[in-house]
Amino acid sequence: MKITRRDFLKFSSAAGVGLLLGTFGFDLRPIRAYAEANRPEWISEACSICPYCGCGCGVIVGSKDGTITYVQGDPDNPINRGALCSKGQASIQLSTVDGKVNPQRVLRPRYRAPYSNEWVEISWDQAISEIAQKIKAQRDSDLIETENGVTVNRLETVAALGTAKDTNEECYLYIKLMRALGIVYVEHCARV
Amino acid sequence: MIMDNELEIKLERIETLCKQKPSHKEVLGFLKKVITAQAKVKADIKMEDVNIDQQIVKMKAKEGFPLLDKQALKFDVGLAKGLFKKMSQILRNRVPEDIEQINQALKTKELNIESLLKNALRENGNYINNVAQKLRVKPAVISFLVKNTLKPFFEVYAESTKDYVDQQHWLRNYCPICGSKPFMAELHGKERKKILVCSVCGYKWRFIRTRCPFCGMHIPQGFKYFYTEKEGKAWRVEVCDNCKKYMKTFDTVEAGEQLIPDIDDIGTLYLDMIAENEGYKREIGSVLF
Repeated sequence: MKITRRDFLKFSSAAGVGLLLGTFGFDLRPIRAYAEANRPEWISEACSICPYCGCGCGVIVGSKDGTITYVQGDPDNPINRGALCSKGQASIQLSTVDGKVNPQRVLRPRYRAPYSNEWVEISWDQAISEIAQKIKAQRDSDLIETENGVTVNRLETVAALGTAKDTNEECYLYIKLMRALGIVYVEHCARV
Repeated sequence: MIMDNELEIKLERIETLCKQKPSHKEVLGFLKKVITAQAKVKADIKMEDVNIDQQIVKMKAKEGFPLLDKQALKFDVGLAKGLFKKMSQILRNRVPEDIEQINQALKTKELNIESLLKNALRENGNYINNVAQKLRVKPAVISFLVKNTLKPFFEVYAESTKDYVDQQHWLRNYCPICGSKPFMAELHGKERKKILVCSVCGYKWRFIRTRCPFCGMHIPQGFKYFYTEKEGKAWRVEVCDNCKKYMKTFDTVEAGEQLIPDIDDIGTLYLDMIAENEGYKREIGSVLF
């Protein structure tokens, strides 16, 4: 390993703590026994963004064995600097309530047919296809192609609402799609 | 005296840890001798008023240079020699053959404490290994002596220059004062900000929570740590699957108390053993190794 000036007094850590302490003749058996009596409990942490209001506060989500165990503000996020409002603090309940998976959480798209009062679970493919068909039908019927002899290709009967949860790249793709469709009413949840 | 108070607090902490974890008693007892010897010397160190040009401070911070170039550390040679000999005495019962070799080399002037310390500051680990080979002693013994002799001088320097550091903007993985790597982390406040502790001068500075302090890898989707149910969540060991290193982290809010890094590091050696069993390595040693 290349030694740099930041490695000051870094020596044989590769040898392991036990081996190095053994060099000085310490009896490590009691410490080893203590370590064996203490089993590690593993936690995973992931950075995410609070899904509620338009602020887009940074959160750290802790999980154990795939179940979310806590949500806390990200101290390094420049928006909230570790703080969270009461809704953000309770956002763990979106996934887990009293240690169990929230039974009311919506995991798949749902469809309510016209004049029906029931929601039916559908696949993502079906949901995307349904939305695409509706946008196409609306655009085909309402697109304003010219105004005062000028080509405008404007669709005024559809509006788009963005989200604070998207990244810059996602926002770029989103606005590109909206402009391609001719949608001019593009808003963001932070302003409504 | 402030230094006496500091020592009293440290000794009290050692006593508490010995009661809490009798398994660590032997190592903590040894640490007690080391810390007491260092505190006595630290009380006698007279640091001249440090006056660094603000422009230089800003430039160094911007470019990522620490305030102190290690080889420029000024230390009282007389005090350092005394402490080196004291550390040798402390080690005598543990590695008698190596200490005998070192004492012999000092007598025959094959080894000079001043030049050993200065060269160690200038040439880092390689020099220590070469000296150990030449004297036919274990490198860990020379490392222990050098590190623990210089530590109080670094600590005093850090205390006298800490006000120069821009805590908000220094988010690097090495100390803003002496440029050394951290050996431990703390989580502070309700927000659980991560604070790193320097392995050499003991200075504490802010760092990014989900970034590995060794390889610098940002792990937004897979940061892992473990704690032990028996000991509670006050201590966690954060690991990096990229470089396979780990760092012990103390949650001050969960524990409800402040830690003394050098002492608590030794008081939690069992965590090092668990981490090694799980396949991770320690990057930076403690006071003792």
